[in-house]
Amino acid sequence: MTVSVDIIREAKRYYEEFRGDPPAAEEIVSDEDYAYVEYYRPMPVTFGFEIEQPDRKICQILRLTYEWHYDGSGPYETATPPGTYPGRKIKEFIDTCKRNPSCTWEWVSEMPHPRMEGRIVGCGSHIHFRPREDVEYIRREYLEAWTTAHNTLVECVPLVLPMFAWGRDGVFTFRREALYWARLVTRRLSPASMRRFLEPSYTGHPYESVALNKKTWEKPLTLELRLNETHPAIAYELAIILNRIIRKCFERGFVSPKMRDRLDTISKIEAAVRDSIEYEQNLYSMLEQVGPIRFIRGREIPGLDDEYENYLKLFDDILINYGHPYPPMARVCRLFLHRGEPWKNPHAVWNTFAPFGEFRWDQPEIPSM
Amino acid sequence: MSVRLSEEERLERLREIREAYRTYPVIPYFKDEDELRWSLQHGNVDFIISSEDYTARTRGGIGFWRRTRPWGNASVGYIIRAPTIEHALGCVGRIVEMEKPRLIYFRVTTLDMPHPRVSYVDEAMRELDEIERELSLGNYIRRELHDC
Repeated sequence: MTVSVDIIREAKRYYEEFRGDPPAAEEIVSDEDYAYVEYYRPMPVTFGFEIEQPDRKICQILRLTYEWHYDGSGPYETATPPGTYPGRKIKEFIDTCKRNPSCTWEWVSEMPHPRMEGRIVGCGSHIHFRPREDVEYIRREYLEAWTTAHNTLVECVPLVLPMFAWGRDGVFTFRREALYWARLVTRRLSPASMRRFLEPSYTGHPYESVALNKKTWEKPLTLELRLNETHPAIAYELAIILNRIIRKCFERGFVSPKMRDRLDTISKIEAAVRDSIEYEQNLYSMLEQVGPIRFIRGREIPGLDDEYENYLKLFDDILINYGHPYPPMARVCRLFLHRGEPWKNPHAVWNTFAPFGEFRWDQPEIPSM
Repeated sequence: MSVRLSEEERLERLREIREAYRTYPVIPYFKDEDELRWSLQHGNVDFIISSEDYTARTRGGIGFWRRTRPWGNASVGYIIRAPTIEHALGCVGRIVEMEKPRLIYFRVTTLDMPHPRVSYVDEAMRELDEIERELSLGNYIRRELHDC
């Protein structure tokens, strides 16, 4: 069964503000949606997700269907195995939750530390990327591919922060200790230093927003995005946007984006996030004050301008140019384009994979179909 | 093979190196003693531990330690010298218990650690020196040092 041509045309018209490439085969979340594919370029990275929530939120069916464990950080967690079809894995997880009564829950971004009174630990959907060795052009330049993917994430993660946050205590902001457990990094790597982390003798998992993660010697190295505290449905779209940026950076000859005055810009972004957390201020309002943001000529985010008046103008342009006009991506991009707040949509986030025409955000002001 | 940088990018890179060298190195973090033991047994001398979530199982341990510069985003740093890795792990456990909750940078050497011994901080600093030297001479940088 496929989606009809009329529905595709209508979806495309309805979400026409998004100009990104149409979905690739690997971004399709179910066989029914296969007709949306108009374009094929292999994804440059494999994906894995770690889903973390407080133990009491996880229903019995979910405990039996997925393998859950504690890794010492606090929340109960499960991992989707790494693969090139992240949408299918996330949809399968969400469908399992929706099929069974009382298996969906109100997502939370933090919980009390299990051993230390007064401390808070984060919950979320950490994303793991790994450049694909099975794609010929990536395998040929594997070291450059790792370095470019790392540097692209270091540069772009601070520019799409609203997609990482969930909200708490009635405010759209990050969890209280977000920057302690996942500080924003400014360091960019060279192939010479990346080689060191690809060696078998490296293990470790830095508490950084973009972390070279290899927890044990048996596990493969991944680029872990640790700041992510949001629902898997949003984490999935974020992963696709970052994947698309990485692909375009690979295609222009392994050249990652690079901001001008980047230390200063990242430090202003970090200060805005810190203030938003500390004073419980809306994250969008705080980030809007950061700017201008400029890129070194030739090292812009592919397809975007080299200068933006402020953070939100750049954020919107990323959504418009990397979001494609089909659900579920277009829905999630539209939520952020209209300054929606994930925590205000606790029911809708479980439905973003619904067919076109059968979806609404809980915030009525966000256009949705 | 070298890469030619624009003057703007050259100056940006030099500034970055000078301003952010303390937070520059990627230093492995551990929360489990077995993971840390494995890393030490492979000659990796430095690491960071969050005292909140590290589980120390080895108790006691002979060795001496002193304070050193905290690298990365650690707020305190220690150098430990011990006869064996097991003794060093005991010392790490004692320091973690003694310290307030925070990130602690360690640099450990023991007699039974294999060679070559590698410090993530030393390697990163060596590379930054090389980059700085090349960029001080002009706009070309070796491809393997370029942040592609």
